[in-house]
Formats: sequence, structure tokens, C-alpha cells
Amino acid sequence: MKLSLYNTLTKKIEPFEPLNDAEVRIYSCGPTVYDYAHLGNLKAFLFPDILQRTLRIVCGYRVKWVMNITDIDDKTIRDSAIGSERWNPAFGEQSLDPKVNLKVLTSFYEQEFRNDLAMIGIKHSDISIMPRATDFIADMQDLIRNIHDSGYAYISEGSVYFDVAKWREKEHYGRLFAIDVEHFKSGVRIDADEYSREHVSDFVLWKAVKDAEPFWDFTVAEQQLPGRPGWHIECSAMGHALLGLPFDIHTGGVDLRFPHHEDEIAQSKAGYGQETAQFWCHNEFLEVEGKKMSKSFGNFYTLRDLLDKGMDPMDIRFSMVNAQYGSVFNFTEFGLESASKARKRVQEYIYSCFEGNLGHDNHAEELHRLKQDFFSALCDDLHMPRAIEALFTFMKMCPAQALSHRDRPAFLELIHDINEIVGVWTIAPRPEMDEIPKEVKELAQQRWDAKASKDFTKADVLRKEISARGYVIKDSKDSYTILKEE
Amino acid sequence: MNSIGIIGYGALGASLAHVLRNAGLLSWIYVKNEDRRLQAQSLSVPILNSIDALPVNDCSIILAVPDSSIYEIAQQVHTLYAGKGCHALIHCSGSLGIDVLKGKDTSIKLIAMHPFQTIASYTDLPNTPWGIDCDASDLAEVSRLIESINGIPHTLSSRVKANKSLYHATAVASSNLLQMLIALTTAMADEAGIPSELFLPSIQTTTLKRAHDSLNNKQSVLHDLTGPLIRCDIATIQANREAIRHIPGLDAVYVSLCKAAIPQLKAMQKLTDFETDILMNALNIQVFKE
Repeated sequence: MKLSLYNTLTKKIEPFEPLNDAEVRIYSCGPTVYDYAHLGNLKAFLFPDILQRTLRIVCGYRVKWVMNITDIDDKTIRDSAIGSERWNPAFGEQSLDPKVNLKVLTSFYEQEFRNDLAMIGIKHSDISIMPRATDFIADMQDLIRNIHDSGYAYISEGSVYFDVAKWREKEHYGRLFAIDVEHFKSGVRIDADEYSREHVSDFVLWKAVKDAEPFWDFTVAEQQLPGRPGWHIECSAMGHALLGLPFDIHTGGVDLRFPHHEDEIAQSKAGYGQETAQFWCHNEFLEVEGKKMSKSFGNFYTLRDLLDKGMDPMDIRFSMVNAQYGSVFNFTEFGLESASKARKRVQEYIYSCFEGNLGHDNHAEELHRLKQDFFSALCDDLHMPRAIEALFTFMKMCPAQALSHRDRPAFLELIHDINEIVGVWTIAPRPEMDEIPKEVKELAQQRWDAKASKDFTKADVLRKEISARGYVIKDSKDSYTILKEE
Repeated sequence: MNSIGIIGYGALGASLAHVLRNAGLLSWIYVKNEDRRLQAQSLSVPILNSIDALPVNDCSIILAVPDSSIYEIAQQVHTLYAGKGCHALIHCSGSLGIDVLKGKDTSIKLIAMHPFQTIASYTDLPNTPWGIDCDASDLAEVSRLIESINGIPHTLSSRVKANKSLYHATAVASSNLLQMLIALTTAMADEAGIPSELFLPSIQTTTLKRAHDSLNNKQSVLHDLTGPLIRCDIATIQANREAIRHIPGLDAVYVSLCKAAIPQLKAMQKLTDFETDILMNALNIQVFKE
């Protein structure tokens, strides 16, 4: 099947054809590793996950998917600076070398991010490369030199800036996003990584070193400019180095259209003489309970916050992927509960296909329609709501008990393929549940009570008693789980 | 109540003035607005333009004024009539009890009576049920007053009085919101290119008739529900939502009404647990690009 995608560059849905028959090359703007990923970040990574799975499973392409790690920018430097309040004591003593501090902080949050991806069902094996920006400084410097040589960059007070006015003489600046060029002032420079469309200015490619900040040596136009890269140049250099330009699809959240992606397009064209990507695809924002997610509203959630509340990561994944990626996603506890129930309905159906008496009806036609409807909905700009609707319609029309000895394996084969994309179900018989003996349950409760009243000696004795019966207790913030000891 | 004065000449005040005058009960009317005072001249009763000018005699006074003004005007009446024989003070708000009428003259009877209907003209009043909240000893008198204008008196139970806000919201939902919904469907028909005057009357008439029949049969109006929700037809629901996305706020209305109906349909065993779960999931997600 052929995929059609909404292309922000052309503002329309277009049929997708890879530039290179051998494989589809996708670049996703990854996380800045200065904190735990929040729900909005995860939504931005679930979108390319569904995209690359669809390209592989439905369209039959090989996919090279690159997701970068931004481990050098304003925020990572701010939080790793000596004396920063955000320095986690678990990181140990800070070094006098700012590069060491930067590495400690970003390595910690990178690992946490990788854990979050795994938890939310994004397979590491599907991501071909997760390059760190600091491993590509030389590529960024080469690109900046190219841009300078081509006349679109200038040096000022030790930093290098992109000359937007000069670029606009020849090229369109504002291809992804309507930029407020009325207020553009030629020669005004902006050093911040993020800025609004009302502040279109000459953006920074290379930032002059400041006291106690990490820096790299850099020579351009025979000038020594110790410093560090601007945020936007990172993706241009890594995309070029790892995928070659132009590559097929660039993804990111809508908030990255400007300035990040707009500047990326200008840099790559000015420095490499190439377009960046043929498709630019953006997922919409996430809101929580109808409001923008913000610490000040008290509705700011990381994945671990939700897991601590007892939520299942597969329910979180399903709730996010079964909505249209291009719509604002309103994350609500009620919505998550609804998604959870719906997901479990499918899981129950799958379990039922492994058990009970077989039916006699022939549902081959419905199965064929499900396959057709599900995958064609996905190929229509990843219309997951319509795809999931096709699955539920099939389940409603053809209860598992009605499937014959031919239909059940056919359904299991199909749901296996569907799950290769949705990724939230277990295609296997229902696991056997060991009944936990009553006395173990009682001991576990006594231990929990002892722990709650801070009688840790008693709690420890009870834990040993439980262990002697072949069980272990796994505590979480508000409850505990009894597990069979392996 | 042989003599009644009315304060206020809005839609309800004017309608009551008309029918009470015809019943021979209207003594005077207080009209603040000059244009409306001209309209009221046809009643041929004294038209007053100041609260201080109200005749102090043995009359009952109906406050046909906005809810927000009732308390203040009631206090003015108490001051003006203290010990001078005002028989009863009546307001016509569906959302307020009688406490709002209390004042220093404790001999005045306090009565709340309101039509179960939005009143635009006196022709809306005949056969309209009226909810009554008053002291039990005054019930018969209030009922007679309502019957004298061809209304149907209904004494509000203590449960209704305790849930007056919900009770009032029910009336608003049943009248105003229904009107708004019809206005929306008219806009939808126009956008779709089908003449609304041709397309909608038979649908709406049949729907309202079914609704009234179900009320008389003490059966939920949802019992006869047809359409994609009851069929658990998610594809059509999604298509409907896509189609109405250009009309501001309508998707939220569509989703909210469906979500509100689903638990009732489930309780009536019109939807299975499975259907309930997948419908709720489908209604909780966005199905179209912004």
C-alpha cells in the first residue's frame, strides 16, 4: 500500500514516494536531555514511531530512523552550571570542568529518556541511531564554515550569525510557518535558542564562549572563535552526516516549525546547497484536562508521574496513538480510563481466540475487510481513529466465539500485524494466574501496615516469612504487589 | 387576591398584565421604561413610574423583574408597605425560593410561582403549568390565582425546593438549549445546501412528538433512539464529527450529548458493555486534524 502524508511544506496531503528505493530515511528532533521527558515530548516521539512502523509493516519499506539527543544547549548548560539548583545530588560532586558536568547531567537524563521510550513501547531496535549533538561538533563547524563561505553568515563579538536579510533576498524564509516579517529588522541578532515569530532576527549558529561554560575551539575565516553550537545547527549537521540530504521525512512537534525547523532549512540550503527533507510532518500539541500542560497549572506530568499514580504505560500509549496525530490531544484521566477499557476489550478478544469452542460461521470476508480498512486508514495520513474503528467494528460483528477454525488463526495473524504498529497487545494465550494463598495475602497486608507505622523490624521479619513461602513483595508509592519468587 | 399590582413590564410582566386585566384582577402596573409605558397604556390601568408612587392599599404585588433585582425591590416594598396592608409579595423566578422576598414586614405573604414555560406573549400562558412555593396555608389562594389565568397549579415538593438550581437548569436545558440546538441544525442544513424549512420540520416534529409520548408513557425518550450512537456505528460518528468540525463548538456539543446519553442507554440495556467502552474511547479522541 502507498502512504499519503500531510506535508507542512506544501500544506497538503501528498502521496509519499521514497527518494531512494533502498530505504526511507526519517529524522526526528529528539529530546533535550536536561530533565525527564514530559507527556508532550512522548507524544512527539509516538508519532514518528507509528509512522516508521507503518512504512515498514504496511508499505514494506526498509526504514532508517534517526532521533537525535540534544546534549548541549542553553538549558543543559544552565542546569549543569556550577552551583546550579537543578544539579541532582545523586549525580555526585560537581567537577571544575563544565564539560564533565554537562556530560554527567545529560547522560543521566538520556538514560532516563531511553527507559521512558522502552516503557511507552518505542523499541530501541527500531531507532537506527540516536546521535548526541556533542559527538558531531566537527560536522557543525564544517557547516558553519560553509555558510560563512557562501556569504550567509557573519561574525560578531566572537559569535557567528545567520544573515536572514541576505537569505531573504534570494530564498523564501517562512516556508513552514507564517513568519511576522513586518517586524524583521536587518542586522538585529538573537542569541536565544527559542524565540517567537515576532522576533525574527539573525539567529546564532555558533555562540562565543562565556565564563565557566563548556566550549570547543573553532576557526572560521582565520579567526579563533572558542564557543559552542547554537541549537538549530545541530540537527542540520546530524541529518546531513547520518542520512544525507535531502532525506525523506523530518518530524517534530508543531512548536518546532519556527524557529527550529525554518532555520534548519535555511542553514542546510545555505551550507550544503541542498533541501533538508521532502516531507516535513508535525504532530499537534498535548493538553491536560483541557489546558496547556504547565507546572503553574499543576497539570504537568512526566511518564513516571503517571506510573506512580498506577497508570499502565500501554494504556497511555494507546490513548495517545489512537487519536489523530494532527489534532490537539486532550489528555484526561477519564479519556485514559476509556482508552484502557477499549484496549482491554481487544486484549480479551485476543485471549478468547486461544480458548473456548470454535464457531462455524465463515468470516473470511469480514477479515479481509478489516485488513483493507485498517491499513488503508493508516495509509491515509495515519488516520488511526478510523483504523481502530475498523477493528472494533469487526469485533462487534464477529465475536471471538463465532470465529471458525480457519478464521481464528487468520485473525491472530492479522492482529499480529496490526499490533506491530499499534504495539499495545499481547498476541498469546491468557497467562495462567497463580492464586496467591490467603495466608500470604494476610502476611503481606500485615507487613504493609507495619511499614506504614514505621515498624521496619517487624516488616522485615514478615518479608522473610513471605519469602519462605515462595513469594516476594514489590512496593510502589501507594501500594504493593505480591509476586511469585523466581 | 382581589387586587394585584405588577412591577416590571418585560415579556412575562406584560403577558401577566394582559391576562390579569382580562380576569379583572389588575389594579396597577409599574413600568420603568418609557417606551414600554406607552405600550402599557392599552391596559387602561394606572401606570406608575416610581416605586415610591405605588398605591399603599390591600393589594398583592407580583415582581416580574430579573432575578438579580428581586431582593432589592422586595426590600423597597417592605419599607414602603410596612404595616400598611400589602397582602402578598410574589416573584416569578424559577431559580429562587421565597426567602429572597423576606423583609421587615412579616405579615406579608411570600409566594414564588413561575410558569413551566418560556413566555414570549400572553398567548403562551393558557394551559401552562406553574410551580408554586409558598406557605402551605396559602396554597389554595395561590392555586386559585393561577387557575384564574387558565394556568395549571403544581406545588413544588421539598425535594425540588432543595434542588432548585438543578430544577431550573433542567428547564433551561429543555427550552433554551433545545432552541440553540435547533438553531445549530438550521445552520448545518444551510451549510450542507439543503433548505432547512423543508428538511427540518418533519424531523423535529416527529422527534418532539416521540419525546412527548415517552413522557406520557413514563418511558425514557432514549428508548426509541435511532441513529449511529445506538447502532454503535463509530465510523458514522467519526464521519459526522469530521463534517461538523467547521461549525465552532459543535463537535464538543455532539460529543457531550453522546457521552451523556451512553450511561443511560447502557442502563436501559440498549448498549452492551463492549459497545459502551468502544464508544467512550471513540468519543474521547480527536478524529480530525486541526
